[in-house]
Amino acid sequence: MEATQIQLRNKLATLLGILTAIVASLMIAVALIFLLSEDPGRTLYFYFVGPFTSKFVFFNMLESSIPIIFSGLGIAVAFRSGVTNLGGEGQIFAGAMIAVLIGTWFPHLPGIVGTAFLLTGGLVVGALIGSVSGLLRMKWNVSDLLTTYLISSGLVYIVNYLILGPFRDPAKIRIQSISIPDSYMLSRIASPSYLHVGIFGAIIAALCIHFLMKYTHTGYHLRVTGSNRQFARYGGINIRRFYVLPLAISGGLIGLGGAVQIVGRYQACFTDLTAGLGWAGIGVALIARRNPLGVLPAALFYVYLQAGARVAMMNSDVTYEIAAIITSVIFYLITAEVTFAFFRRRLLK
Amino acid sequence: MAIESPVLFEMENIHKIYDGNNVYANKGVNLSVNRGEIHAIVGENGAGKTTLMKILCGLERANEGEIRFNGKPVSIESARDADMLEIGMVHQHFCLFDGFNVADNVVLTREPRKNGLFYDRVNAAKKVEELGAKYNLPIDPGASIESLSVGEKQKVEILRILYRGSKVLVLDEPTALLTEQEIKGFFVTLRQLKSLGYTIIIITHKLDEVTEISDRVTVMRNGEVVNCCITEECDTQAIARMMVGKEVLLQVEKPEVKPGATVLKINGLSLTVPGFSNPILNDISLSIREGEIFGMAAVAGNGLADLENVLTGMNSRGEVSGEAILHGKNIANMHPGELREMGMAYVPADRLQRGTSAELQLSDNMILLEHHKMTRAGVLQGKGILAFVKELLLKYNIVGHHATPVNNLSGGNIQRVVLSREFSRDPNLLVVSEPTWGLDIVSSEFVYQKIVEMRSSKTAILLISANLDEILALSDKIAVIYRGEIVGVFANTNLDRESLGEYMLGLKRQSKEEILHGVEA
Amino acid sequence: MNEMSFPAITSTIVIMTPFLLAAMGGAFSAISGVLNIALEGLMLNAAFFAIVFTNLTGSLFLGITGAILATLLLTTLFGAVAFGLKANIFICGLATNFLAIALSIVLAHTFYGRTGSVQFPGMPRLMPLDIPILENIPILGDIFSGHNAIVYISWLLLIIAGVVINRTPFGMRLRAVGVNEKAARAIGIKTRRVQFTALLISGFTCALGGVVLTLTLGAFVPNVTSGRGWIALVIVYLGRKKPLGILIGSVIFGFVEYISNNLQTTSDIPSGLLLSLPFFATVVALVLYSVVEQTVSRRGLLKTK
Repeated sequence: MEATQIQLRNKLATLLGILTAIVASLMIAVALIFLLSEDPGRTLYFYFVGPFTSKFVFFNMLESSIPIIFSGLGIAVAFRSGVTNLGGEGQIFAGAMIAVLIGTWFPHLPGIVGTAFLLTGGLVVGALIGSVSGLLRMKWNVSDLLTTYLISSGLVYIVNYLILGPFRDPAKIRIQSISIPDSYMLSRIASPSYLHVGIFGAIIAALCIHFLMKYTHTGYHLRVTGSNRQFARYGGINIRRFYVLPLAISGGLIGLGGAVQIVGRYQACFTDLTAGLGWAGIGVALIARRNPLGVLPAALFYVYLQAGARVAMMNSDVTYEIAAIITSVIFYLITAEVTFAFFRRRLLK
Repeated sequence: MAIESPVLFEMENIHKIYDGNNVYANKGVNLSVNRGEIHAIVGENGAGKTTLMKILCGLERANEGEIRFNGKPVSIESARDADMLEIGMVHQHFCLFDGFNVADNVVLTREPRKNGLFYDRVNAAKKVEELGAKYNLPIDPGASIESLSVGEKQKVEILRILYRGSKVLVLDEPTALLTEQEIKGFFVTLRQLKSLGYTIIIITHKLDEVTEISDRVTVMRNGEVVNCCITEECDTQAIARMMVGKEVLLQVEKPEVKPGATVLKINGLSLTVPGFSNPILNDISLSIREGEIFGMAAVAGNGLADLENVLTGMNSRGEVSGEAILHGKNIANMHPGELREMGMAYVPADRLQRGTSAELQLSDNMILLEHHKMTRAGVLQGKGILAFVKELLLKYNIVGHHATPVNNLSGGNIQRVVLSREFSRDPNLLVVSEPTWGLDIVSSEFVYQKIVEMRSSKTAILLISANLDEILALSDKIAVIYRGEIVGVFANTNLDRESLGEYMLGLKRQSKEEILHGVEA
Repeated sequence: MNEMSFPAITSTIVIMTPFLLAAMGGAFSAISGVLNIALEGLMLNAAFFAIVFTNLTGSLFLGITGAILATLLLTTLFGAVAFGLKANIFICGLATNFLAIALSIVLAHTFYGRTGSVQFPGMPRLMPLDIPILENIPILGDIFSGHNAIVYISWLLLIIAGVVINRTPFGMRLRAVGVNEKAARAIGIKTRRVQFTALLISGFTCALGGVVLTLTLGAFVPNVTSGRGWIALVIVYLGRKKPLGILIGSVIFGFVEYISNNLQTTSDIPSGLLLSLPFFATVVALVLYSVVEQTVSRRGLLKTK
């Protein structure tokens, strides 16, 4: 077989493997609904068709993909570069909080400058958090898997404290932080839904990361080191450097996603803001096979599962968290070598 | 009952292809072993000896073929099946466990128990001590594995298979890392085991040992059995010829090139590794000139791989002393990046783990050394890269698209990718290790042709190879390494495989003066 | 001050129990060469089912048994996918953590029609047990008596774990697989089976660790484990997978949490900030451990030169 043909069929096998995981998860969804719902037909309808029946729901679904795209991109970069970032939750939260803080400390900047300032704040804070784990790995070989998670968990409590304590907005009934000025908010598209121009930002971010990884000198070093450290060393690349940089990029993207949540949607920080967005990024990156552009459709699929659950919860008798069961099934199956090997054998012999 | 046949077991028409590289490790092998004999299996690296024994021991499965024990067909699909047939193997890389003592290692999976539940440490120690005494393999059962010498570790391995009640002992390169003294003792043990009725299969490529210890010898080459004879009836020279084969498959046209100035000068280079009493490389001295191919030949396990690592900045075990001077600088402990800048190109023996990155596409693999030049403002210059890669694809006749991941290519094409990258830089020093290992003839010829072209363009070339054909076909000068030392240096005129083979196998060595003279010449 | 030290020790002993149990199970996995990052989820799963089954049966014993069985089931799923379908064991561990959270919420919704905390008035709880004789000894009695049954079980299990790991054929194989998986396979050990068994042991001990969290409280609250499984993972590593090391690690982290709890009531430091203390303390511990280890090995190298 020609090398190009082998390449094509390998890609096809990978695609079929991903599809298997997706189909299996959808089957589990159907089974769960039959098991848990009094009126499975109605629930199924709302789950699978619901997200497309109203513009409001549909555009809100798109909106909810924005932070997941950012965290998915961050995780994809980390995985591509051979490091692990389990700190998405804390990075999003810290990114969001810093945006709120900057917004309240500098309330009188011109709108667009303010917005940019807030977003940069989220990016920088996320990158700093990631770098700490990278430095610990580089200097003392401390597991990045553990420190990203631990630092993030600690940060979640600190941000929670800031929201509940010094920066709480006493005028609001709901527990939340003070709000950033209206002038810093991104403009909505497709009102009355929450969809905002941040969606274009997310798409541009995906394109940028794709460009970074594929077409730049730095991206090349990240890919080479991430794919094979011995090969990188053999080629004269200083491999020690490549713990800090990928974790900084990863954390930066995820922190940026947090800031986007503030300027795009919420205007203020509250305790449930992350709600698993950091973890969702891991799932999305895996479905996308660590490919930055693949993160876009993968994130859409991910939020479709969630939006379906939300619609079904409102209109029928299941709870929203069945989406979490379904996504955990995807997690289980998305790396199952047996399915990928099965398709490779079928297609390559 | 009829008289028992002398044959204990037979392996018939065994075929084995490893996944991934479509090369036959065993190609229709037949082996017959008699009860109570010491049977040597000899052959060069990659001849398929170990694979055959792993099949016998249930660690690999043959694609085809039959094994008969006492005339009855058996299926050996796991280590346990082999256990049932009382076959035990001592691997070249010992299967010992750090953190356990000698007795623990011996009895593992057959632990004596007390109260049916607990491991009986005392009893285990006692049994191992008794076993050691019975077979004349005395060893302290309470010693920790990490503290043992290689010879003692081997004793533990042998005790383990004896403890498990194996009657057929398969020993893979048992003497490779032993000292002369240890080897003597080891042979005493083997003879004693034989006298007790054990059947012993010993894989080796040391011919003096074959004549000393074995009753019969099976010679393998390229995955096939070339001959099987009674040891007493054939002489060492004949076995050596069979092992290495007569025909030189490849003819390489080497144009006349007058060697120029010295490029690399190595003085007393040694490598010591903690835990090994003898240096892995001992006092290596040589010099390589422009337009010269200097061949380093040795049987695997004699230090070639370490020499490769030390010279290319990839060494991460042990301590290097002595010097290797390239352009007036000692490169012995340099980072690969610095070596690259000084104009070294390097084709590693491990082309899958080191020479390429399997999941990256072809172009990414090919620009590894040149991508700095192909970057403007931090952005890789797509057009320039594409032109560069396409030119190399054409020039090196690589079947593949520039975006094809390397793991979708055949072995020959992967090696072409490595060559294209390394050779296109006009290096002044080229280190090439095992360049045709696992390649077919067409690819091998291509590789040779390219190496010779580099020689014509006045590159100094160090060729490291355990393949004698290759060494003889390409080199201008040849050094043979045995146990980490240079044991002979020759100009490649009127040399033949047999005589070189004798040096590689440790049957002969030159005097210090001869070696010095050879290096200086 | 002297009077304060007894409650400190008593509370630390109670607080450290989930750490001790989870880390013990994590150690079994780690010894066999598998990093089990699902400790958190397995604990959470048991914490939830303990309430479910105790409420259902009205019996603590049956409640605990049910929780253990449910958790073993989840562990089996985890192992079956990781070993059977050859999926990345690390990602499967994450999946198990997520599944545990999702299951607890969905089932709470299905069974009880609510998704927040779950508790039932009058449901039996784990009560402190006084140990005869010991309770009457002045200081020792105060410290070591008056804990709930699972605290005692955890001590017993720690001893059993030490014996199993060091004194039984299974323990030897477990360690052999972790030291050199390839060699273990070559001498006929079924390595995957050993690792799967170790995973199930993790499931069992994590189940007890989860049970103790909710059955002393008498309620299940979302995120009741709050990162304890992850800290337990660090304890496994810092304790070098040894029972004694794990005990010491659990005491230390139990004490850190005690301090953090205690400061919440006695100091002016806001409680929100104190909650983050265990996590940062863990990072610091990891770094210190690594620095010490590197220094020692560098010294060792110098010696051999």
